[in-house]
Amino acid sequence: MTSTTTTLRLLLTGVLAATVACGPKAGPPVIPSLPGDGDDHVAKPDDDGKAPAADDPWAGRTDLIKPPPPQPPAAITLPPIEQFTLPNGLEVVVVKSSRLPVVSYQLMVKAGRADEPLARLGVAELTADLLPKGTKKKNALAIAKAIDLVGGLITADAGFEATWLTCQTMAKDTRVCLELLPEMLTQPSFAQDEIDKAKSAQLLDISRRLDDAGALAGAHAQNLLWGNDHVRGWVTSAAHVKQLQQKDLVAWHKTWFVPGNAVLAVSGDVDVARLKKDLARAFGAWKKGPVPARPKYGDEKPRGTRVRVVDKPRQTQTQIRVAQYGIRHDDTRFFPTLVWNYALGGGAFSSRLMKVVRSEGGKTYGASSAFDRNADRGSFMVTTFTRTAETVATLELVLEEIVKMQAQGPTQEEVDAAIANLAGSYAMRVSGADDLAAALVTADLHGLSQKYVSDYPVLVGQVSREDAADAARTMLTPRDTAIVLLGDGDAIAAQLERAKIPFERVAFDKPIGPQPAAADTPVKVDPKAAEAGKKLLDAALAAKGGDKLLGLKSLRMVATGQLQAQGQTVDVEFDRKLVLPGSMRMDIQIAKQFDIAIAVVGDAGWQKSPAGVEDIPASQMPALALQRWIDPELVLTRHRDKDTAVALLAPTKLDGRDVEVVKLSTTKGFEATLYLDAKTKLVVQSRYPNGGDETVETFSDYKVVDGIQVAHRRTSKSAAESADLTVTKVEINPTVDPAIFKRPK
Amino acid sequence: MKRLLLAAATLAVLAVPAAAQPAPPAPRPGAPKPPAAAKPAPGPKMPALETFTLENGLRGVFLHHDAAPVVAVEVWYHVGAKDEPRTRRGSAHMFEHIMFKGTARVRPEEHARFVNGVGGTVNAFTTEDATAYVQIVPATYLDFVLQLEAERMRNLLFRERSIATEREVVKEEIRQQENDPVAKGLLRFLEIAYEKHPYAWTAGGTIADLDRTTPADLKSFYDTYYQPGNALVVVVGQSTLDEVKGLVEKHFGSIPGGPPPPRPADATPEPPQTKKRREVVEPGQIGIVFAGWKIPEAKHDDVYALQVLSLVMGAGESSRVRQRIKSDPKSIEVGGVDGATPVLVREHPGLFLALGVYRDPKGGDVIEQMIFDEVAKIASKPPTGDELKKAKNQILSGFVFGLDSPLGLAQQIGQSWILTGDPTQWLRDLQAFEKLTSADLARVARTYLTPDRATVVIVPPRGAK
Repeated sequence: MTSTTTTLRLLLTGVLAATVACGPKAGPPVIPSLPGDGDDHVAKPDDDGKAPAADDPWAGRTDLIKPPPPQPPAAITLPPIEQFTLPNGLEVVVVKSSRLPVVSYQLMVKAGRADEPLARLGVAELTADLLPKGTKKKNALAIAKAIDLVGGLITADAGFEATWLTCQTMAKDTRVCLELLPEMLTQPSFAQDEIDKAKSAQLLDISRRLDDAGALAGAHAQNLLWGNDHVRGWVTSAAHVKQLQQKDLVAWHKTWFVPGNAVLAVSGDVDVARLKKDLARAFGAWKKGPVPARPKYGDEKPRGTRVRVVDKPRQTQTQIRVAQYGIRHDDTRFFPTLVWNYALGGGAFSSRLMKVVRSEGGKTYGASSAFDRNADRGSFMVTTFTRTAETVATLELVLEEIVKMQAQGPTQEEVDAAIANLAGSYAMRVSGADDLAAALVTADLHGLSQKYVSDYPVLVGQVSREDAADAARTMLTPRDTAIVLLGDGDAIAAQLERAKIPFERVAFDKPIGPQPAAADTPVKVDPKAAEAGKKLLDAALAAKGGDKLLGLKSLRMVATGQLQAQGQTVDVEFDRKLVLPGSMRMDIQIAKQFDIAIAVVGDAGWQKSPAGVEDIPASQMPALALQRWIDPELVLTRHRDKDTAVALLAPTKLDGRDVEVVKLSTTKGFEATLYLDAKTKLVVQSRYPNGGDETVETFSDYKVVDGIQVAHRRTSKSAAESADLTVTKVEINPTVDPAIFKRPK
Repeated sequence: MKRLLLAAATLAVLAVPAAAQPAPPAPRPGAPKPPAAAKPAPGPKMPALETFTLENGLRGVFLHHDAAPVVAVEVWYHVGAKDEPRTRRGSAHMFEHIMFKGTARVRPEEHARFVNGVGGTVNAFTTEDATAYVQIVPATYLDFVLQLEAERMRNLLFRERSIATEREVVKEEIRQQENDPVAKGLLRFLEIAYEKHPYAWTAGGTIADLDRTTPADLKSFYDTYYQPGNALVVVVGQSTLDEVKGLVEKHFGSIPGGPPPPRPADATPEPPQTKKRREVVEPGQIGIVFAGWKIPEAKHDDVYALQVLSLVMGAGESSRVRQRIKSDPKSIEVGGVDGATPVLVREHPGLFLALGVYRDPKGGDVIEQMIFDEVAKIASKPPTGDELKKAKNQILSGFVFGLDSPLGLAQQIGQSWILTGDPTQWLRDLQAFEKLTSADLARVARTYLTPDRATVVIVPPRGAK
């Protein structure tokens, strides 16, 4: 019955959050909006108890320096821009500038992380890394020598939406780029030794991230916000990198690197007429190909506020991230969002976060907010860090500002300041020809025109206070945020517990998000220990029910009890029906209010909750498979499977009782340690690794039901949750209507 | 993730910076940057710098630049971490923060807010040799920005509450390093490399010394070093010499000159190193070897050759140290990934560094040996014609690409003044670089990059014994 635990965890987050979020609100908005209502859950900001000193030497003065008014927002005048398409479909944008004798080529392929399947996570970046590392004509060293000799630069990077391959030299050496760029693009050799080196470098980066608290916190925030079923929640791990092979890079390159899926921006001191001929010659051999459709992800539903403590012992600072969903670049609220975000945390010392958290609070060196500028809505993230002891106090300050901005929007003064800076500084940000070229190409990627680029300051200038306030009100979701606190887990947990803020806790060195399925690996076992283990399990099988158990075709079990997760305790009732070998349905009632149904048939399943009916995501199926394997009514049959290894371990005592210990492992990576009463041979405890954690289950109050010993009291405990259940009904081989496993509409 | 971001992060701990505010990230997809060449090379049209000095000793430099209707305005003070007492490490940088906390006529944080409010950006940084306050604004606000800078040159207020709060901010800035084994390794490297000279510590200082730094210390520091005669105003952008001179005179001219400040670091020169120093420190998630050799001060002629040598050894993927670590089978066996050879040119004797990153716990000795091999080789097997040409072209292209940035040019000017006393010196350096031969590079390698002058610190990856 405790196999429900993991399944429940998958559902309870939203349900519990919905339960508490629906609680009564009294008076003004609750500050802050963490799980749990009211001031009881607020960690009070620092207060040194002293009244503010009468320390304002500027009060009443008329000679203070005042700033001049800002310039009114004005469109920028774009230089002449040439656009044409080569016969093979490659679009070209040229920004001519004779100011400096330099030429830059920036080639954007419309494929990046957003297009990767989970099974090939990291392929975009690895492919990009390999482009300058050898072609059919030149090896990596030859390419490096060619560009280094002229003092040029080649880069290749894959981002979320696109891959960029660039080449830059003095104008007199542009022929080097015209030779190398198309060659790298169309004829990469993907040599195995270079792949191995690139993978080693990526593995180094991944290791390094564990020491880069800011980067690690950011990765966790994306995963916590987007979950394990959305590409934005996936984080490349060592396992992902190791599984990539040469054929994956070849396939990725073949699929996405076609002229119709790319744009080339050329900027600098060029003769456009000559450039057209040069490009036609240089890229002419790049064959057309179909442009693939890009994967689409639906908008994720809100999941309530959740807090993840990433435990990195001995840190003296905590990295704090508060994340929520962002905004599409073509959303009509985009410019108003730029403005309120500037006021909140995008405007450095002109922002509320810097004022409250740094300048007045002294809690941090930096506090900021930003949102992605992508075609999809991306993330919105507040970033700060502080000394460990101030973790919750700083988090409270941040959340308070988010709540205030959502409720009231920016002031007129803040709107004016935002417009003055965003519009006033724009021209200098696109003054370089290559900056402008990149801006034009990126705008096009998001379906925006050249006029967007030139009129950007005017569009910012048109934002009113009401626009900004509306955008803040509709965009900010203080009750649906992903909060990550990375640092000394014990110290942070103590603060959260004092503040009665529920949280989950993970170790910093645990991989983030879904990992590749482990390839079948043989399990090495000592033959004597294996034989002794099997003998013990045969005895345990006989004690539990022997042939009756082996003849089990179906089972129904009803249990009641309590479940604790995310700091909440709820009453639960389960009704589970099992039809061997692989169909299971569980109906659960939570807190006598919510009904949930989960059904699994083979490798697929569905779940029904108050929110509706959904397929169980593929990434969650391995956890359910583990639960089926470890099921207490079936685990004593597993040693008879071919892919299961058994080992007898040393006996021990549990609560004063002598127990024998045996370990089971499978080639699929499941394992469990069973503790059997030395006298009765009944299972009293099982322990198994479960998603980076360990679950411990206990069994007692055995009663015979139709010849099978069934434990009527069960507990389960892991770092994240616990359950305490009493079985109230058991039916052996009942008739089960197969229709109950069918997905409701 | 980018490799050799480590080298950049390394340098961020070192010579560049503890800024008053975090620099806003401005990633631009695919927008490339030229190699980090330090000095310009002959060939292109030289920028025309105009210099002047006020009666009170304040120096000014103007460079006309019309890429955009903006002006970059930087005020450089010739004071940095090396001027701090050993019991007040970090005070120069902490003081830099206080420069934003209010003057007689400007409230706390208003300097930054005012600049933001006219469409500008503002920042500051402290190095071992200098402190600079930088902003870029639409050209029409040159007058206003100069007014703000003059105001805080001599009218700063020292309020206990502000200082107490800002001390905590600075401590959080420094605390970031405590949690990073690579940063800690580098700080330890400097402590060992410099036994006497204040380059043993960086501008960040220590938390204990920050707690010891009082408002009176900061005021004394201000009165000593923040004087017109110890400062350089740099303006690069759309303006004229007459306008710039006129405005600088208008806002700074009435500030009385002060006595030349003391240079305490002159009294603690670093003695010659005669034996290799080596230490293995606390492990990190990745392994890194820091190797370094002390080199002469910026004004010394050999520094040109050392800078070009650093490019030959470590700039571009085809360079010697990078190729050795990336491609040598023995390096690959221990998970060697990449290398770099940055050179720290400073007002006093600086450092020629060589770094190598690797993954295997057994790799430290191997990577260290490879670095020393390559250094020894360059002395006996001088750079080829192509290697020298590559380095000179990297310098030239770095210079040309750098001409596009008013802020970058202003920084070159300020840095030139700090290192040599002459803000225009960097323009003449191009010719010095062009004259160098392979024999010059081999000679400086033999002279300065010897094993007995080396300091090595290894941060092993976890699992190392």
